[in-house]
Amino acid sequence: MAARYLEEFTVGQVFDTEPVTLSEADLIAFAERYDPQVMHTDPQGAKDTAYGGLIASGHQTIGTAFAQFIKIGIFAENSLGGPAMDEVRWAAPVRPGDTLVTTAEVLEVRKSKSRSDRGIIRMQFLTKVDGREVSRFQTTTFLRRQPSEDAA
Amino acid sequence: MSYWCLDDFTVGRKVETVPVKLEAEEIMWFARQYDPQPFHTDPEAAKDSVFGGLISSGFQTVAVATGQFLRTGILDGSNLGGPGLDKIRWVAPVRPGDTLSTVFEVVEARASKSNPARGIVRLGFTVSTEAGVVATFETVVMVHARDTAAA
Repeated sequence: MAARYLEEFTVGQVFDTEPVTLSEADLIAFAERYDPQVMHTDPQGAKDTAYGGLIASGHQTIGTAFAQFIKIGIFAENSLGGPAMDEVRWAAPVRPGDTLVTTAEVLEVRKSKSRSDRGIIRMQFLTKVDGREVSRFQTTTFLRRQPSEDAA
Repeated sequence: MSYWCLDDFTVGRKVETVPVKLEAEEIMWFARQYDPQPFHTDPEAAKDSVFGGLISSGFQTVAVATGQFLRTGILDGSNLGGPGLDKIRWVAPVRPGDTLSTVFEVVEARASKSNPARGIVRLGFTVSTEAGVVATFETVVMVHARDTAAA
């Protein structure tokens, strides 16, 4: 998908992303660095936890969801970085072999008051496994505006 | 450090975690999988971006801080899971070679209404480099209430 400018997004648009499956090795590699807890790093030890087996770090779930959105290419070079994320919720565990299906919906689009070349877009991410919600979060991103014809 | 139960989470209590240096290789390893934007994955392309060079994914900054928090051991044995994060603010870029220092502070701690054996704790995190604050966020964790039988 070609990169879009701020003006090309409207509130309520929903973007589907490519489903992705995380392996046990993916889960452990992430968690050893960033979320070193038994239920995320040790398949044997995880059996004795409340989760009954290995589960993904919630940080990995949201990162995976965001990556799948970036890969559709709609922000691409028009993204000027993100200042915020809000309301991250982990609703259910993600296990090795689960396929994550993420959608991203446009919540808000507005022009920057201080910078004429950009605006702010807020998106609601929702990730499901087998149709059941596992996580959600909201992102705020600075996005380029369409260059004006005078400047072109 | 031995683990904390609900009573140990007094509002305002603050802990500094072990600083950690973030190198370009780890920034790119993370971003290729979880935030594949050129200013996180490609040092050459990043030079032409608004950031003027490679910067870490904000998701990684938060994850690094979480890892250092867990390595203090205060949740070992008492962690009953975390329902989420909130109010993540990325206020300045993190670049290769930056050392991230994470401090967390108890913002709120209360017993669960539905399950008195469980406490709900909200922690405020501040992540800084030598140059100043780079990120702040809040996390909620559920912990064991103090074991009254052992007291």
